[in-house]
Amino acid sequence: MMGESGSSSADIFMSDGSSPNSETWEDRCRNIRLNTADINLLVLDYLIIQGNEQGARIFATEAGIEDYFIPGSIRERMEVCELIRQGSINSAMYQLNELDPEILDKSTELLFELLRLKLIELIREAMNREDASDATIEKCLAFATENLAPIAPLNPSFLTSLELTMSLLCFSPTSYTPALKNALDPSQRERVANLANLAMLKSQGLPNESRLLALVNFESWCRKQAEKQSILAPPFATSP
Amino acid sequence: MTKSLGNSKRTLTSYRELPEYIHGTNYGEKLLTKEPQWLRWEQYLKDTESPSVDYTAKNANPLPQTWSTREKSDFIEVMQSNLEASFFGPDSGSEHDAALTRSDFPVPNNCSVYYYEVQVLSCGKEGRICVGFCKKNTQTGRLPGNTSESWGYHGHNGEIYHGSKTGERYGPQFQTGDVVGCGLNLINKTIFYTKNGAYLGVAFTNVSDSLYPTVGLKSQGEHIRANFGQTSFLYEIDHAVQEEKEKLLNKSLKFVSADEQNERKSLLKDLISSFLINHGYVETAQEFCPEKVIHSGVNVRKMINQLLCNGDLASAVQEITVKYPQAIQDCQDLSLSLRFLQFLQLIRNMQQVRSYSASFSGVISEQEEMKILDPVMNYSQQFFNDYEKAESQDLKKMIKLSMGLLAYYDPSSSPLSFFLENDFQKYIASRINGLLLKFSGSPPESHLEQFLQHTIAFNDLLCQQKSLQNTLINVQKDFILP
Repeated sequence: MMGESGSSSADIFMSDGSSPNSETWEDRCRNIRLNTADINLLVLDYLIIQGNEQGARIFATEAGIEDYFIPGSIRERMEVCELIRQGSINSAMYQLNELDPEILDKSTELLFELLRLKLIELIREAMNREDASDATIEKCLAFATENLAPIAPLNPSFLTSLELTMSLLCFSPTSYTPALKNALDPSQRERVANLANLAMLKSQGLPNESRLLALVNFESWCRKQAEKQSILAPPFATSP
Repeated sequence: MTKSLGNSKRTLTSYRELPEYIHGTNYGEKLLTKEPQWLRWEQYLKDTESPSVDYTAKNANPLPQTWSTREKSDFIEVMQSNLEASFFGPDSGSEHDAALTRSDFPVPNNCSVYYYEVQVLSCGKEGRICVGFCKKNTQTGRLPGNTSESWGYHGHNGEIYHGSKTGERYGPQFQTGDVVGCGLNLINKTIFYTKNGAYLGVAFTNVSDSLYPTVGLKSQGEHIRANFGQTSFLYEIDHAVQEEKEKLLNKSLKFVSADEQNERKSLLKDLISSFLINHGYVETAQEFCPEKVIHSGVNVRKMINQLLCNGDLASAVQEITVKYPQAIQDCQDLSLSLRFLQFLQLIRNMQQVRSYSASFSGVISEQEEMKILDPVMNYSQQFFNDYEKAESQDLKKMIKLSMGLLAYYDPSSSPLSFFLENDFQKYIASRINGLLLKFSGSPPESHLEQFLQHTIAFNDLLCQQKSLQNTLINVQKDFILP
């Protein structure tokens, strides 16, 4: 649907048509009043959900909004994420249970991913041994059978994922396909850490993304809407 | 389910009076932004300015408020703040003796969803009541739905009608005591109904815009009462609209690539850094974005800000002179703001001296009074000579208003006392911070604020350009306000 003829982003009318023709887009934006107090809360919300505890605490003090800062909860979340990043899955799972005993029941995806990471660590261990003894490979198989096999049927992607992981044992490392190499990559841990963060936020009753991120997503959606309907979108450029 | 038949006439022209579900739409946002959070001095100005200066929201088109007293059939009488309608026509039973009334205002196009309810107070002889929407010039002698400019749900047979004498089966019948709700979804262009709080489903599709709520009556004794949002609804419309909104926003997130996600996250990091540095949150910035702190001058600005807030004007001016050479000479507003703070400080000092002298000797002699007043007057005269040179209209208004402080013997118990409070000092200090930024070539608003303003205006633009889905969003309420 074409935008109104003749209007460019430079001469936009207010919905009542009462603003002067010459009002530019920048003027219109600048006249929108914002409350710094509200923005402070948005920034604090961002820092908390990002998990930046130090930053959130300092900011709460500097902005004078200490009442809104809940200490402790962030640190626990960050500790779990860090443990996952380091590959200490057992400790991570222990901490998660301490935080919320039901958290893994509520998110089978997280449970599966954590167990899978654990399996990968076992496989890595097996591969690193000079004597690729059958015992270590047995250990991996046993782990997979006991822990992962029961959950895998719950979701088709779990099965595929499990098969892929198990095939790490079947081939020698030098002949790994890109998919297999990817499975061993530490970036997998980052993904699982994020999953854990989301699950913990949910269990603490916090939204899984900060309001500011939601706003940024919304703005991108507006751009897509504008494109779809051939409306000229105003640029947003941050001046240096 | 006893609803009081009181004379509630909420005017529905200000944000606070609107039904909750409308708060969340673009329509609600337009009303919200017209009532900014007044700063203390603005509030004072607003309260004391002559009534000819009108701050009310004239821009947004009003919502339907009552039944129209002119655009209705003569057979209908409206009463009770024009919310009730009753049939006083002939008892002929002929199709031509139907009567219709419509609301005073149409549903505004950026309203996205509109809902109202009608309570049947009495079925009268035949219960030929119908509820729906109609266009502006619809015939008032026909029931809603019998003409092509109207859509109606008829209570005696539970059928829906549009542009025809025959209806389609739709829902249950309704009679005395029932509350029928009628909703217009401008995004999907549909009309739906509810009965006694239960959703009945979509009745019509592809409806026009600029529609008016309407009700039709036909037999003697029929009497209804409408609720255009003045009181709470039976049906949980707020909840339904909220769900629609969430569906819309979730849909928008589905097809975002990982690359795009990262881009957005880094944009956000940028915006936040800019905000922290701009507003002088040095320690947070040090923790969050240390690489940006170094060249930003934020430490200097923070120090100046603290000096100003503590009342140490002399040191603040010293710092500014050293770190921002020529700033005070070149920037009119900067020098005026500093002199403004000086003026306020003199008033405070004067007050202190007065109260000290008074407590000491009980009464102040004329000579003493002159001694106290002189320096303040000298300063003020020069200051008020120059204030007209201010570039910012706001600054001009503030200074002019503050002149009144001189008239009071005890300024801190006068209506203008807010000028002397800490909050105001901080406010001026933050304005000076903005001026210093401007002087160094950065915009006074941080990128974050610019982005918020940009998004609000962008959504507005889309709504104006008839991107209907955007009317469901009130950017301020949904993303910014706590």
